[in-house]
Amino acid sequence: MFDQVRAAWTPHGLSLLRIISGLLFLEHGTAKYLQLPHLAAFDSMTWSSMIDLAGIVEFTTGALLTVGLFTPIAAFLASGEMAVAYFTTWAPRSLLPILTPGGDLAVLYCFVFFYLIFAGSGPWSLDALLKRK
Amino acid sequence: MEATLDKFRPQILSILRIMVGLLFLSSGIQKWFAYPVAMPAAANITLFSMIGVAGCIELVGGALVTVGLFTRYAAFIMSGEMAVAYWFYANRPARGFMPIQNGGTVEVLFCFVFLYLVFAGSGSWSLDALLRKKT
Repeated sequence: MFDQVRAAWTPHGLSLLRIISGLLFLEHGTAKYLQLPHLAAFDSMTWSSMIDLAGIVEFTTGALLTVGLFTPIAAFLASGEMAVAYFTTWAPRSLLPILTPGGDLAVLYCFVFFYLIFAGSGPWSLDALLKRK
Repeated sequence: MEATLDKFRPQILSILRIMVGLLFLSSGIQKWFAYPVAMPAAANITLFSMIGVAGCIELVGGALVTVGLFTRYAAFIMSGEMAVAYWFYANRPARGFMPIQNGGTVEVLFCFVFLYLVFAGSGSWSLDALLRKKT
C-alpha cells in the first residue's frame, strides 16, 4: 500500500521540489535587482559584473523553474551558474563546502538543478499543461 | 532529447542523493568530531541535547543516504530534522520572512530534497538497489 502511494506521488514530489528550489533561487535574483529583501551585500553591485550576470540567471531561471516552464533548459543554466559560483567564489577559500557557509548551498543547488535537467517539471507545471494541449 | 534525458534519471537521482548525503554527513562529522574545524555551537556537545541529537541524525542519516541504504526512512527523519532546525532550533522566521534574509536557505533546500527522496528512493547506484536485486 505504501509503495503504491509513494509511486503515485513521486511526480508531485518532484514538482514540489522544483517549486521550492525555484523560489529559493529566485530570491537571490530579487535580492540583487529589486532589493527584495534588501541585503547590504548587494548595495555596491556594479552592472555587467560577474554578480550582475549571476543575478540575471537567478532571476530568469528562478522564475521559470518556479512555474515549471522550459524546466530542463532553465535547470541546465542554473546548475551551470552554481558550478561557476562554487569554483570562482567558494572553492578558492576552501574545497570543503562545510567550511564555507554559502559554498554548501551552491553545491546543493548545483546538484538539485542538475537532477531537474533529467527529471523535468513533474505534473504541477506549465510544461505539463502545454504538453496536455 | 527528453527520452534520452529520462533514461539516465535513476543514475542522476543517485548522484544527487550521494552529494546531499555527503554534505549532510559532513555537518554531523563537524558537530561530533570537530573536523575539519570545530563548530562553535557544538563546543560542549552532549548526546541528549538538541545539537547532539541533530549531530546523530546527520551522522547516521548522512551515511545511510550516501550509500543509499534505507534511503526513504533516513530521508524522512532528516527532512524532519531540517524542518525543526528551521522553525525551532535556529528560529529563522524571527529573523525575517524570506530565507535569504534569515539565513535558512540551506535548511529549506535540504528539507525539501530529503522530502523528495522519501518518495523517489535511492536510484540505481545504491545498496537498496543491490539488495533488491538479490531478493
